[in-house]
Amino acid sequence: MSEPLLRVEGLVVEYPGGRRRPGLRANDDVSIEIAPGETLGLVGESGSGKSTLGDAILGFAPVTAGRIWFKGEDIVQADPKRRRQLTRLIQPIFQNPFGSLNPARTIGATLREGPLAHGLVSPGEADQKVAQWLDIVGLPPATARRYPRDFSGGQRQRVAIARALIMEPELVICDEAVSALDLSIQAQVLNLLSDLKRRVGLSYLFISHDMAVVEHMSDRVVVLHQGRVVEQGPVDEVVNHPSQPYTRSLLSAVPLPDPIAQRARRAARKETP
Amino acid sequence: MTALGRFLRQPLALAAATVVVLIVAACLLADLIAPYDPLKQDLMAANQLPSAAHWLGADSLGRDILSRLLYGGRVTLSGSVLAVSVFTVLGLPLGLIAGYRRGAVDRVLGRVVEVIFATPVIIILLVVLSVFSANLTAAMITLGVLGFGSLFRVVRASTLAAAGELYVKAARAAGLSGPAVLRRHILPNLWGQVIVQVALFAASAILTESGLAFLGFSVKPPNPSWGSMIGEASNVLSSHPFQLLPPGFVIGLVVLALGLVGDGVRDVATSRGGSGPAPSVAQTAAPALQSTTASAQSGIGGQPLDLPDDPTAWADDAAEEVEVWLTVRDLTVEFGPAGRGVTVLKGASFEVRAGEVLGIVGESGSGKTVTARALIDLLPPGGRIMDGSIDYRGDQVRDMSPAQLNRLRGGQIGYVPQEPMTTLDPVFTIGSQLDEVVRRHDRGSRAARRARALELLELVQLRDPASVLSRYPHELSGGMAQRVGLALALAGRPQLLIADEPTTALDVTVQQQVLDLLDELRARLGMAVLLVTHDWGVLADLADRALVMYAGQIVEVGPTTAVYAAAAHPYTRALIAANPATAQAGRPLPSIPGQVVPPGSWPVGCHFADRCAEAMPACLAGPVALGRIGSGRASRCLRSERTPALVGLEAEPVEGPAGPSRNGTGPARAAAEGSK
Ligand SMILES: Nc1ncnc2c1ncn2[C@@H]1O[C@H](COP(=O)(O)OP(=O)(O)OP(=O)(O)O)[C@@H](O)[C@H]1O
Ligand code: SF4
Ligand SMILES: [Mg+2]
Repeated sequence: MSEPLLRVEGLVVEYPGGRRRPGLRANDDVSIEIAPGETLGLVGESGSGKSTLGDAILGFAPVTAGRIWFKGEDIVQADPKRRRQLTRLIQPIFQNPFGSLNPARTIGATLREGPLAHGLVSPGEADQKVAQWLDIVGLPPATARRYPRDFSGGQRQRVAIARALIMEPELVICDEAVSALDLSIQAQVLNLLSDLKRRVGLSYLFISHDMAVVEHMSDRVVVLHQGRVVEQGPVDEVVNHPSQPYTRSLLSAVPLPDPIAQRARRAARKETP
Repeated sequence: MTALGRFLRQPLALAAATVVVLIVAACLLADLIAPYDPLKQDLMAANQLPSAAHWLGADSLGRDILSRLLYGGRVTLSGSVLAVSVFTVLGLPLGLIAGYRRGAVDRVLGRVVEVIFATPVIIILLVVLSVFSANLTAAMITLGVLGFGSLFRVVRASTLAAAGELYVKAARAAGLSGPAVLRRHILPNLWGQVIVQVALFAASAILTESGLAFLGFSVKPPNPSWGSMIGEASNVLSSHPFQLLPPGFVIGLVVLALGLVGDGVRDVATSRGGSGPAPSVAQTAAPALQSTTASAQSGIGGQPLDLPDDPTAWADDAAEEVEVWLTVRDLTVEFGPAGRGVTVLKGASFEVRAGEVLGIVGESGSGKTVTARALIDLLPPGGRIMDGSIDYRGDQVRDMSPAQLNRLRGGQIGYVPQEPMTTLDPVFTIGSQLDEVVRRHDRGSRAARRARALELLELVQLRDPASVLSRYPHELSGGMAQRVGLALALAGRPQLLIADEPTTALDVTVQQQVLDLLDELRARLGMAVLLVTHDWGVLADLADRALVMYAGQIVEVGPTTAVYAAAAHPYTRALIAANPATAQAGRPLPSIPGQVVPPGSWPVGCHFADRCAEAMPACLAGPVALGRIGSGRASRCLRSERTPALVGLEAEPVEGPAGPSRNGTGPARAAAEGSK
């Protein structure tokens, strides 16, 4: 088997407690792998530790124990300089298209700063690069001079995608990347993400509470419950033949957008308490 | 508009800033503009009142007061500039570091500031002055050190908040160094507050310097400073009270002006978008579009072109048998200043039938919440009903007095708001908030009311209701808050429950429990439910009939099963197809191009036309009415009648007798059961 792009091994993340608050173990012995070009879906209830896992990979969460290997190197143990080089290749797209762009900076300034910080482009080339990525995500070049407040949620999410991909990453952590969007806009953004994956050869860690979205996007799925992995496998298998009761209850809780099937399911649920 | 531009538009703050600048400039230019040497004594002029020679008079030694004010201002102002510099140089960077790094650094700095806050400023200053033999520089540096804590706290708190923003996280992921993140993403959001603090501190530094000078701790006589002038004037106060006026007035004026500048900056800083909620769509509408459509909408001679929908259009074939509880006709809602308001809901007509669940579905901003809240005259501030009628079992809601409306709301009609957590008062327990509502409906003893409150909490299946009564809102989970919101709405034993997005903020498993609860309650209590949702799964789960909204209009109405089986309106169809739950795996999702037209930019014709794959010239020509397309079904589309699927549907009626009954076996259920 080829070397995975990302391997998380026995990850434990503990948020320190306060004076009266006990510490919280948000990830407990989590192990996952993502192959190059693969999309791994991550599902679970709120508070199950989905975002914590993403944050740990991005370096935002305190790793108490365990290893995170990226392209064969341990990024938890790496010195800060090397870690910074490696984490350029891992970029996030966050849920909230309103909070994830600095309201005081133009879109162009936001998009430019990452590549400049890493020396991916010279200051002279930066504008061209920004224009190129705006075009790829389907926004006009004039976007660069405007502020986030001028754009709708879907457009901002396109900007957030451009900001992640302009770094030329190999792994993108999509943390509820489409959850705040309306259905018609969500479809546009999901298509864009799939399309970019094919064109650029990306891998995604696709975090969402929405089973249908995860099912549509992912090759494999991991189910988290109270910080632990309860089930993982190919998406068809997990969705159609879940082996764990928790996965089954999670899946059946999502109402189907089909009144006849959904009502049959509700009736069945009532009969077997 | 830039922050500076907004500041300049506040007349008072602008005037105050001008005063400060003029006074500072005059003091700096004292060498050029002062009419006399400030030390030159002219005993002939001693204690003169203002005159042509001495505009502000002369002091007891015959020195020109205006000149002494101008030169004295240099001492006072440079002293406070020094104090302010120390204050800023310490407070700003330390606040940034503490807020950004947190942890031990933050704790240590926080402790230091606490200690400084606890020290008596004047005593320390006097000690410093006696050690450094009345050296004003030492005193002002000390003042800055003793005062920086207030700036530190403000900066730290804002940095802490800003550091939690997603855009800061994203910048860090993009590899920006700590200083770069602080400089580019955090500082720009902080300037307003820093300026406010600096202005306030400058004012207090001027007052402190004056106080010290008054006590004789500042300049050596005969050199002037504003404070020493006050001291000198007070010596001759009884015989020549006027001499106190010029220095007193200047000090007062500068302090007041600095305060006003601070206030002005604060207003600008808090009114600016910052990381707050996004501007409403109405505000972001393209101005060019707005002007063209606004003129188009008013039509010829100012007459609205829109035709009212024919309310009989979507009646069931067996309409007489259906008992209707709520009838809404041509409801139109506007937001914004009267005369320049923007229409956000246009001509909505529908009815809620006995015991049914009517689902209103649509995208964000389509007008679902506005529709629901208008029904019970509970529009958010700025919103008003412009037209239409609302008939609840024979009573006209729009003609009701406030007292009647109060009885209707929470009485026959219960309302659960979109985010119940935000409508619960954080300082009262659930018990007291529930009791307040219960008291409106049941005038019993305390014990009886408590029993009723417990009964309500049991009704919404909260575990351990007694403990919930004694809790505060922040001690509830999202699912519990939703149940409490339901209990509050049920207190008046409503016949119609309006639930706005009752499960949107909840996890799927909790959502399922709340939906089950709603389903059970309506069956048990025989209520009708108006369910607002954007989730087609929730709609499919509970609604007997569906009402689809797009850009402020109802675009489709029909039994839920029929709408799903064969949506009539192109928007409904496209939306169902775009749902990943129903889409084909491995294929791109069939998405709808473009985005929703915001209110204020609606076209004269079909609101969906610019995104519709089937649009034709006629669609743009004029308003499209909600037209009948079958028994109990209507669609606002010129092409709907020709939809082949519908023709088939009509030939083979899905509905039995259309009278929905109270036990929850409406036509949709019948169809669902029939097909099992
Ligand atoms: N307080 C307000 N002031 C000005 N405009 C408002 C206000 N509340 C709502 N609107 C506007 O009215 C329109 C309809 O809003 P409404 O809240 O009914 O949408 P919705 O369908 O409930 O959306 P969501 O799914 O986001 O809750 C929107 O364009 C919105 O911008
Ligand atoms: S009226 Fe025309 S533009 Fe509007 S939905 Fe129907 S076909 Fe499309
Ligand atoms: Mg709403």
